Amino acid sequence: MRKILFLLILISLLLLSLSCSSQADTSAHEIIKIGDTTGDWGFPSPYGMYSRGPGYIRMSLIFDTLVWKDKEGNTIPMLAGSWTYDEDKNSFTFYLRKDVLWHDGERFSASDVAFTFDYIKEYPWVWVNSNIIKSVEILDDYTVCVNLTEKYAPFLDNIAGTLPILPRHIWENIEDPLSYNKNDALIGTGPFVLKDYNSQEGSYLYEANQDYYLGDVNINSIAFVKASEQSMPAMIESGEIDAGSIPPDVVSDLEESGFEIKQEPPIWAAKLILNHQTNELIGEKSFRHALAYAINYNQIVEISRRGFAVKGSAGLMPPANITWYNENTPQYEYNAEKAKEILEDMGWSIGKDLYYYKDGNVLRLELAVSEGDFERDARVIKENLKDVGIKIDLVSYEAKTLDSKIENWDFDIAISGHGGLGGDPESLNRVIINEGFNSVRYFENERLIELLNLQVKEMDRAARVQMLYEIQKIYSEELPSITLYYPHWYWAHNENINIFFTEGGIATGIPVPLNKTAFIDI
Amino acid sequence: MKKRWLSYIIAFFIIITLNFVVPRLLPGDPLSAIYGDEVLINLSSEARDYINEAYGLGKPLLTQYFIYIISIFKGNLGYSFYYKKPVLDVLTSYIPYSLLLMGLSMFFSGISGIILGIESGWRRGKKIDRFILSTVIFSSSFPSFFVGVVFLVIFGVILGILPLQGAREAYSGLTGIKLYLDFLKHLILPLSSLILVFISSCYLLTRNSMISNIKEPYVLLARAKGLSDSRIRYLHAGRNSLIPIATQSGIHLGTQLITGAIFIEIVFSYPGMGSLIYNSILNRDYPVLQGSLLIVTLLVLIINFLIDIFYVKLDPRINYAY
Repeated sequence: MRKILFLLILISLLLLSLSCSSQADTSAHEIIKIGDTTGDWGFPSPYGMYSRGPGYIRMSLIFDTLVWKDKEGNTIPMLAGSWTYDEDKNSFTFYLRKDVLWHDGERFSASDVAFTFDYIKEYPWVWVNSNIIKSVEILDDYTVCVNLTEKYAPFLDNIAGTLPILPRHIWENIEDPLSYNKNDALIGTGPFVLKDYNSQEGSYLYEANQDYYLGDVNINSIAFVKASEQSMPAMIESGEIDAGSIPPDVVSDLEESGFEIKQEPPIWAAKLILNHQTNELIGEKSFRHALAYAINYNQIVEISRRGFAVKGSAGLMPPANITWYNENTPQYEYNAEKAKEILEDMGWSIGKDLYYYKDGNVLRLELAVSEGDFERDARVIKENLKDVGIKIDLVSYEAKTLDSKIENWDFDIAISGHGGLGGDPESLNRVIINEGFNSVRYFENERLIELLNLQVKEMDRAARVQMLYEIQKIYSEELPSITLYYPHWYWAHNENINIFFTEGGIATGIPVPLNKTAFIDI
Repeated sequence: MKKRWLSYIIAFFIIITLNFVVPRLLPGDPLSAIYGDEVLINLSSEARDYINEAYGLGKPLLTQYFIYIISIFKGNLGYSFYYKKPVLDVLTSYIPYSLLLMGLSMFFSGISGIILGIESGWRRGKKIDRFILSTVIFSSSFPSFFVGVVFLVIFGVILGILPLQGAREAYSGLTGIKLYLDFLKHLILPLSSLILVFISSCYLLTRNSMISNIKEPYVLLARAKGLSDSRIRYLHAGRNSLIPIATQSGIHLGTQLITGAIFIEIVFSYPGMGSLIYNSILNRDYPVLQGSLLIVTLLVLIINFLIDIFYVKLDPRINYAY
């Protein structure tokens, strides 16, 4: 047995030595390191990355888009030096920069842009809805005109500012983009080139692109390394990493130690999902109102979230999204008496055990929650609902199992959440009327559906804002789900790196403080 | 012999079929598990169809099953939806870390468990026995992740002498012997937490069989021959106490190697098979799950086979039993 074990150990040491020889050899002191709790976000090509915000960020260091966002969320030129919109033709014309080179030295031109739009029509890229693109015309070597099938207000943010432009000379021969992971799949025009990627250790190493067209890149090498949530603060303090997300509890300690803290705009919504579809009782609007009055939001924020959250808005849109948030959205303040009143109007009467009864049946709901973080919220909600006379059975599920139960309407009420509310309000359509477990799939109010569909096509900003205001009002009244809170998230960094959160999020609204323009002297 | 082979083949088919069926019984589908969470993406029906097509998810289950069986015999374990590479590549990148961590922890916990067990059993009821017994039981009564976190706080945070996580410091620029030392430094905390957890079963088994062995006539004979105490303890009574340990290590190595260290791997962000399987369950990455389960199965079979051979060496009587 010992001999076998020795053999195993020998083999593994050998393999490890093999695997480590592939890690790029760079001296430690020049590398800026960013910690990440997940580590691996996929091969950082547009099709290889995992389709999550951090995956996009890793890809965005290598690939550029036509336009981009600055710190304040303004659209700024990137591969396109300028652009115009022709309302009659419903087309965007982009005047491209002439000084851009691909990392392999080839010249970037309009044909690359046209190719990319065609390519995503053939091989759908999940971040961009290619159905909006009717055709792309090359007007000259550095001018392209993108014709749209219908009016699309978020075009600049969600397509031009999200779609990475691919080098035609490489991708025109690739027929299996999802699995293509050769080195030339990482040739972009961006400020960095990838030097190393280690999937199992979750580490990435990038080196500055010295010929970057927008200006000098002010960091020579940047690396992403895996760091567990528990060890991140200690690693930041010891200088092992230069930046990373941190739990709210350690914010003041790190601040006192001289580290800079960046607070993410609270745009991630934790919601009480209501089964208005197959549960008859919850299908009644007034019962949903009773639930909303019965929940003590401040208690959840103060006790369960220890103060590190913002109370939810009944209209779903978070106050932090200042462009689109309607501050006059009707809200449900905690009012147990009012909740009871509504229940009594619905014919429920209080029993001896202080629970409500109707036709001999107790008012009872199952509250489904995924193991871990939401369980504390669930306990507060259970107590709140018990106080007004609703009996709650708390049930815990593995996260993806709960997602699938919600998707199949196999639950009463559940706690779940999603991000995506910081950027363009097209995301509201995805979480209200699209299919999928993240969406409340609420089709009872025709005006709401009409407005949601119209707002995406409204090119006039002021008119669109008005539509969004009305959408939030209707949502609050219809209440297909109850927004509980928007948690605070923090990042800490030292003086070696400058990071910031982008207003409205990067690209389609990614709330990660790693906007590549921070690393460029423009 | 033929019958035996036949039963092995049947068992193998049942196992690979279970490997195929069980992951698919989990609620939820890979597409929702991988893409469903993200509100920022636009999973149009075209994109959905394209991904389903690319990963063969749209095919009927029976077709998927036959493709899976045929691929196994071709040595192809499939293609991971989540990692977007062949399952074999994914597995081979994680297995060395698991072998290193689990192999070493089984080795050290085994050796120290056996020595402590022999010493303890030999001195049954004496002060030293009671001391070892209570210390071992006390230290292994904590769950592994708790021990891990305590070690992390003491040695990583307060004393700051050992690294907090990972298998090595990423992009440290170290090479050669320094890199090896870095690997070892990162191993110390997860390894010692695991040793503490594994030591008790080995210790208790050795101690128990030692206690029954010292009453055997051959021990009396050895004494009568005038052999030294330590010779009787280790070469006579001790050696015979190892048989149950061998059985147990065989079962342990196969299962624990892959899954036993999952909490420790998570606490220390150590890239082993445990965290790979955990991630694959979360993402409903069927091919990786199938592949990992297949590897575990094969490993258990191989180790059992090796132990059968080893038994004979340890206890020649077994040979006569056939």
